[in-house]
Amino acid sequence: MDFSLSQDDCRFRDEVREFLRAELPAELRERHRQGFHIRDDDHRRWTQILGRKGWVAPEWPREHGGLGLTPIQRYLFDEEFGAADAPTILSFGRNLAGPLIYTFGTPEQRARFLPPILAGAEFWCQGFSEPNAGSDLASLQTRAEPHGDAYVLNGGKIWTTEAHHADFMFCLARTSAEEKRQNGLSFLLVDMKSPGITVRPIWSIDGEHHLNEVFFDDVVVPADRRVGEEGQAWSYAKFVLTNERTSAAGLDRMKAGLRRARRLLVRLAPGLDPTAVTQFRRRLAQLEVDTIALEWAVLRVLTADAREMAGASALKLRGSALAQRVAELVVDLLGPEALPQFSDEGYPHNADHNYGFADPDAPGAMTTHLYRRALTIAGGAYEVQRGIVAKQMFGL
Amino acid sequence: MNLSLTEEQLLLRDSARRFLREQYSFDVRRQRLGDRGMGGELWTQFANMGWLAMSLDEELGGSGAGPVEIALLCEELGRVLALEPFVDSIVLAGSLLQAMPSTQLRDDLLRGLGAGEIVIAVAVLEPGARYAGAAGGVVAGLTSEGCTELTGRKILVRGGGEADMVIVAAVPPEGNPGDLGLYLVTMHGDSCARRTYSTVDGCEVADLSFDRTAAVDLAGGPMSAAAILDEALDRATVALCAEAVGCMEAVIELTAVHLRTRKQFGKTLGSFQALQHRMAEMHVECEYARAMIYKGLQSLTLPADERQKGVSAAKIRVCQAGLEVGAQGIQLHGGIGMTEEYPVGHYYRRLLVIEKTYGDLAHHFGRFEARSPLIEAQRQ
Ligand SMILES: Cc1cc2nc3c(=O)[nH]c(=O)nc-3n(C[C@H](O)[C@H](O)[C@H](O)COP(=O)(O)OP(=O)(O)OC[C@H]3O[C@@H](n4cnc5c(N)ncnc54)[C@H](O)[C@@H]3O)c2cc1C
Repeated sequence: MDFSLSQDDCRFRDEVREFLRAELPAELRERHRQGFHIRDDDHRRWTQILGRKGWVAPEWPREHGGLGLTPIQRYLFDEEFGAADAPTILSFGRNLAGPLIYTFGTPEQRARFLPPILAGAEFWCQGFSEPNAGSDLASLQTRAEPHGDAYVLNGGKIWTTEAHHADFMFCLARTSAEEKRQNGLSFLLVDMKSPGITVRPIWSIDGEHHLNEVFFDDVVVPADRRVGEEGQAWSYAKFVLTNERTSAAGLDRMKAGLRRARRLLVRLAPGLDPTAVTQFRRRLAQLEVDTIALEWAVLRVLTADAREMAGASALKLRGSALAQRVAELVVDLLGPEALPQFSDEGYPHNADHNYGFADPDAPGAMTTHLYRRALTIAGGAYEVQRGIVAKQMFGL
Repeated sequence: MNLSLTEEQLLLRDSARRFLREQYSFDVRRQRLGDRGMGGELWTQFANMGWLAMSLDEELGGSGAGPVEIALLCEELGRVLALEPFVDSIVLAGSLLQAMPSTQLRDDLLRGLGAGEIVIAVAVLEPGARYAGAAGGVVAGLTSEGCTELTGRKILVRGGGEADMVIVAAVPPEGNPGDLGLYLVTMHGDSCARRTYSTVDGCEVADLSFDRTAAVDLAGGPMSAAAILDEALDRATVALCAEAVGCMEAVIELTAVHLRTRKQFGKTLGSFQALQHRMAEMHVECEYARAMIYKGLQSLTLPADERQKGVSAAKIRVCQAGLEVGAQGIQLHGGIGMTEEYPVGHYYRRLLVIEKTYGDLAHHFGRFEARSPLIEAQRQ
């Protein structure tokens, strides 16, 4: 056992740190620090900055345009992002579409789709969930009928994050009428500009628009946009989702939140009742301890043979609940000043108009808190993850 | 002891429930979120129902009802997520005025309040001062003619955008931060700058900036202004707790219906034991919260120290239950619970705001602990 980082790893970490110091635009950093969701134009700009350095997906294998980072380097990379208050880029292209395509796609698909992801030129969304297929994803109904050398797509998806900004969707659709549930599903790469696609916004409880409903009405998808074999998508989906094991823990997000809480507590403590300081101090310490535990669980999964962890599910269970509690602590520290409804429109251009926030740290805190309720729902709900752990570990 | 409701109380609750269900569907509420405000039709209807004057003496146009009736009504207002600042304007402002000795001004204000003719807001919070009412953010001064004027800023004043009058907590002339007086400001064009915005529950609040604004000193009775404000806030807190219980009940109802109808894996969600247990927990939380309303109501009849302790205990328990029930309500709904179009998230946001109104959990834990010293209890 060795607790130290190799010289290579340290050098890499320093390089990331230096890059972020030099290249991260200040206003982007400030928005992220205050807890705002990243805006589409900022996301594109930032991805392109990273793309020029070759750092959109440095953990991808070299032959597919990545740097082939080791798991621990990937971890250090993300950690530096968190420490610098740098937004991580959305996971759909980097963590899902990319690995799906380079693992199961054709050489032509790789050549067509991977470079634009790495350059920040094209963005993706994930078309899995449907109104009647949430936790029970295998019951999805969207159909892709073979028609010559194309599929004709009908049906719809829901909760599709960022569909309104995405260029492509990796979409799970039923290509066989005979087979039920998991069988008969295929992966299609759908151009979001295709005729027959309608995207309807769904406003969420943080007062923002991230989610969408997507309708397919006779959408033609060329057959060469199918990934892998027809009917095999379920196993590909499982591979892709569990491939991304440790980012489910969301460590950097947690640490950034704890830093914010600490900053607030230091600033607010002199004006607080001493018993309140004691309460907040203990809550902060508890969350810091929990985060350390999560961090070492992640490190074990990354560098030890830790199959007994039930990997991704165990990390997601803890990580999601912890991130909710961190956001709640930040809001509680702000007290009544966290309550104004924040509207992101026009920010930061009219930042001098402070929306009723008396505290400079207040904007974004409540929005983050509200949206984080979804962490225990999206990508496999809490209850379902528990079921998976019980089944994987104990066959229950 | 008898904790059951009288015939009249049951009647009040049922008629309020019926009226609000008819008048205040979720869709109506969503429309009202756009054109918020309380000067409108519904406020007048509240007045016609006798709700605004309910707790006033008969000679002021009221029916002499007490905190129990107020709580029953507030629970129903919570159930439909009413946007009107009933607790702030009627319970809080009303209690403040009622605790003051009768004068022409005070009686006129109460009469107008009860008839729905004037809207009164109460300004307590100041930037960076959490729940302290007179931390120095607004100070009262005297002009050379001996008139009172206020200078400084108040934040998050519920109903402050439309109020005709505002009762302002401020440091009195010659006083130090922490000393508290209560002042009445009549709002007209240039009396103060107000900026209106909404809190995450969709309710409207305002920041008020006073700059040598003419005000009337409301002091003069046997009770200090600080004691009056403290007791009025306790009354408002109990009413708010009842509103929270109404919210929780609504969340539980919505969630139960959802679990009975939504199917995944070929079964209704309600057939999964994990979710059955969660529903049971939510119900038990809510029942304990309801029990705390009774304790809160009883506390309002006790001497200040015990009242404060009991009301803080109620606020703590009710808000903890509310946050848990609200969050679980969203969780058990899945994605749909996260949407603006669906009610459960609106209840959660209201419950979040209630927790941070009239003192948050940290505040009330502090208040409770201060009245629960670590010495061995002696039995009398
Ligand atoms: C913010 C957000 C972003 C999302 N982004 C995307 C996206 O980009 N692309 C995409 O495809 N999808 C996305 N989703 C959808 C997400 O994956 C689903 O919401 C999730 O799978 C849950 O499905 P559901 O919402 O239909 O809830 P349901 O499956 O109806 O679940 C409701 C409740 O029942 C519980 N439950 C269900 N089954 C069981 C069981 N067997 N035992 C015990 N409890 C159970 C759940 O845990 C949950 O609490 C997103 C969701 C959210 C909230």
